[in-house]
Amino acid sequence: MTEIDRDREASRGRLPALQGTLTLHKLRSAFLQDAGRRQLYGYLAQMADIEGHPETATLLRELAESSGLLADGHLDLLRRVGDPLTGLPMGSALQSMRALSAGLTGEVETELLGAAETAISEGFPDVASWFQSARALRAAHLARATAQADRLLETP
Amino acid sequence: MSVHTHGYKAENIQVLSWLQAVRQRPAMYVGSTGPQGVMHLLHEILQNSVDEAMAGAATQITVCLHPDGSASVEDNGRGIPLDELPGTGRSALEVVLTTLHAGGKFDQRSYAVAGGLHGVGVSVVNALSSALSVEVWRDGRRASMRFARGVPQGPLVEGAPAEGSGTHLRFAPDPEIFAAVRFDRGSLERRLMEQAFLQPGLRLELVDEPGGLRRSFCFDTGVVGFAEQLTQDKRPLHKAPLHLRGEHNGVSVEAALLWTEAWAEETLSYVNSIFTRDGGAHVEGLRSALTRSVRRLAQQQGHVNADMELDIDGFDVREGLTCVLSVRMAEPEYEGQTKSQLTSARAHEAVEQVVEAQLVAALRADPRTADAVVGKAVEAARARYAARRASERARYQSIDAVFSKEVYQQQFGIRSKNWHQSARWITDQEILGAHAAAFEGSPESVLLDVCCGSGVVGASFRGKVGKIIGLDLTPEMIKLAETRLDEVHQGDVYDLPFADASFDAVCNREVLHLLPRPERPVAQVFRVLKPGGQFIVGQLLPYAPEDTPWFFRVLKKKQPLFFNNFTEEDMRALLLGAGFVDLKVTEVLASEDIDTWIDTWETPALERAEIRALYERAPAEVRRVHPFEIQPTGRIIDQWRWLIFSCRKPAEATP
Repeated sequence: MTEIDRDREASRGRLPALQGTLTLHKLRSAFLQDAGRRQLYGYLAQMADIEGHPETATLLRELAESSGLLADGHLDLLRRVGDPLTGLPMGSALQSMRALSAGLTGEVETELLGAAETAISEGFPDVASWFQSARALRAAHLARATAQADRLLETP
Repeated sequence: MSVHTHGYKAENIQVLSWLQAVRQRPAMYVGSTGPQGVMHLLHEILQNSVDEAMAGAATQITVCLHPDGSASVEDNGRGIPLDELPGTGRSALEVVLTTLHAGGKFDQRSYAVAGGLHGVGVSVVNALSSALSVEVWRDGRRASMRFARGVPQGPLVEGAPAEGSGTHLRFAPDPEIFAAVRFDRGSLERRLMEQAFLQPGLRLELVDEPGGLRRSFCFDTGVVGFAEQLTQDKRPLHKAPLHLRGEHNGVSVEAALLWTEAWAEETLSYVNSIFTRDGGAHVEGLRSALTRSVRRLAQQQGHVNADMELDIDGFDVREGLTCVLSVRMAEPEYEGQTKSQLTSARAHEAVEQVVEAQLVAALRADPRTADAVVGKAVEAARARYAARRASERARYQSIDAVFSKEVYQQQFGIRSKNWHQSARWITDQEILGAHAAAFEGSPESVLLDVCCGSGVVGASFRGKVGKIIGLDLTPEMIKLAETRLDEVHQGDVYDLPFADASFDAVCNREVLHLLPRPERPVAQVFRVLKPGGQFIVGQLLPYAPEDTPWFFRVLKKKQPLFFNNFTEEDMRALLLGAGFVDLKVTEVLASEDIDTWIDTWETPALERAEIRALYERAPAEVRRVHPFEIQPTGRIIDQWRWLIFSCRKPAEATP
């Protein structure tokens, strides 16, 4: 699509397709980073609380909250293309459950197993056990998501 | 007059709107609609009577639990005023009971300091009670009034003239609001006892009519007596609690501090006699003063300086500390109506100032106590550094060097100190009994208790086998085990110092999770068992996939040498994979006191606090599968799931 075509589409109130663009790639990594920041800052806030620095904890919590807002903002734009983790359509309850199941299947069957094997081969049995524990939980999540998707399909 | 005959006036609309607000969102006012919410109602009423005592107007409070599920609180204070409140057409008593934000505590002439906050307490209790009756005697008058779900059931009724003054309030928590209407007597007893310590001379009486119990609390020892009571099962490092008190900018501060040989810190904090479970500004002020004072003293004594690797932090200073901190101030600010966390910056400053000045003076005046306090902090800092190093050193880099005897000897040798008091599970008779009950061999059998610790597991087989032999790595544990077992050897489980097929049975408990490559020690057990011999092994395990990662985090923070977060399936695979057959599993659920369990040398202070936070913020998925209770005092009781696996080496197997 040329620049003129894009301007024309935009003037008609239509946004050009994000699929396959560098912008999409940037949006996805921004989402992953901000979602990660929200979690990291929340974790650090807990530690600051324990250490007895409530003002630092409040600052970190506020930053975590705003990072969450940014991550949600990225998702507002990404959802037109699909779940940023799997690329599958997202939005409706059924689509979300399907995208979630697809992502979890990959984690359970391949990624976490591979991560545990790597940890073992490099001499970190506790880290391997952590990956295995995460895999057990993810497998339970996968079962729940699949069951929920089935229920949604049965619901008229 | 019935409720329905009231005129329809603007006033009624207002009353209904506050009632509706409280009844629609009760948790906003009393924290929850569970058992803690029911107790909160009683605490609100009790607190009003305690406020009378703090104002110097009451000397006696009686709390009564009645057979019909209601509770009453009576005091000999001034009595709630009965006169008509100008401009309302109603008595002050009725206004206080039916209006949020009405009460004597906004006026500092009646109460200089008070635990009750913003006058919402008693009206909220009224709104959330199916029935409430109040009787007041003052100024020679006696009057009473009744309510149902916050609505008056008639006017103020005047009784016969009366001597003295006081208030008697009886209420029944509304079953439409609360899931279960039951008062926790144990928790109430603790509350009355702490109030008796915090208000020296005040007599508090508990009458449990259904239970046929009457107890009375009255102490004149104050916070010092309270700290002594809290530490009665611990070994103190100095003779008596340090008693610090003073006033700063209108905030009165009183604290009792006693360091003990324990590891965990126990600080109970109060604002105007209200327990602040989540601490807040006053506790932060205390901590900052403690850290600064003890660090300075340690520097002066030459224990730490800029050139040394060792530094003392706040956790080191508070290790083993039991502290009761009581603050009295006008208009305290809290986070939320349940008053569990103080936010007033004034309190931070006042406590910091008073504690620092008084503590430094007290320690200077008593060099022996100063040495004990500084020595404990230095020891804690050294242990923290050592624990970090143990964790780093245990992270083996070469696959062959799976096990460092030195690290394990250091980590577990120190456990021998107070070993049996360091957790419930160690001597829990049901868990031990389940190991012994799994045994199916002959009375002449020779049993090996591998990694035997103090030998309690092996000893539980006494009478069922002919000889019990123990094996452990650490000399401290071997010494303990020798008092229980027939023979104890020193050695490690990766290379058992016994010939093939030496034993009829092997038992082991709560060890495999600490060993990298657990298939190697299991193979060693297989080797030393005779064909047909039995292996009985107990492990603490998560309940389900949902609590598995959470459980990993709890265990790893407790013990840096935690390597395997086994599930039941993992254990089955481990044993069957080694060649064992005939696998049977017994489940035992046993309660564990988490605060005691984490009060150990091997769990650094930051991790202790993180473990508590993991329980406090456990996700719903975890709570659904893993039962635990956080008691009103903040103490955590977990229901642990033990699985005892029994399996056999095949009869025809060769070692």
